[in-house]
Amino acid sequence: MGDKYKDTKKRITNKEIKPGDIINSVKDDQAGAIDFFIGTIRNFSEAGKIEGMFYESYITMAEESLKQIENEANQKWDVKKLTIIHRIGDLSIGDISLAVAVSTPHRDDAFKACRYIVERIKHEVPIWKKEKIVGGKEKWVSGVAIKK
Amino acid sequence: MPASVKVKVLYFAQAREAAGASEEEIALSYPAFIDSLFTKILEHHPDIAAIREIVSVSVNCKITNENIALSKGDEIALLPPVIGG
Repeated sequence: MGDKYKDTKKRITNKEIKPGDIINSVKDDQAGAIDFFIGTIRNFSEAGKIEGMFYESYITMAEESLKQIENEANQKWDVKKLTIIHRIGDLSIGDISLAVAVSTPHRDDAFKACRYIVERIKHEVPIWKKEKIVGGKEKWVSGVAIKK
Repeated sequence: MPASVKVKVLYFAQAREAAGASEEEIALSYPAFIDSLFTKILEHHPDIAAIREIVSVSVNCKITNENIALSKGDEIALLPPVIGG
């Protein structure tokens, strides 16, 4: 992995996620494929019509956890570059909450690595979200107990 | 032997709402353990009892399931089930 992933990288942000910047961050001359996942806020859930989502995170732990997920994806596939950005704070319908971009020499690895990273982010990283339901109620989205 | 062990406790999501605070310092008598910390937390914030079973606990960003000893300056977090994305 070398110095591709410097510890100064910030993966949790309260700023708007800009897809173009993220795609550019993983471009690589040795990559023939970039897979890009974007998670957005939708206007419905099991609880009803949604008007927004609030995200919070234990940032220091989340950064470490995301770093570890990156390292493991690197060991499994021939990843050239990889960017994960998760937004926190108050988000509106259509806003981007998560972006994961992976570049690899061939497409199969890009699809697999990206999916692997997204699934792990959902279940292992200390991030929580609360739905703002139309009408004023709020509800924490049920999650998964974080393990060692 | 230190008289007391002061630790920092962080509360997130449902735990933050139950505690009515996102963080606080708690002084425990020596020797201090996770269990003695929880006794103190529940004295201050009885609403935490309702979510105690679903909350994971980290000490200095490492999840622990055991009643480990705590040291001065440790950062303990109460982490409800997570859901990123």
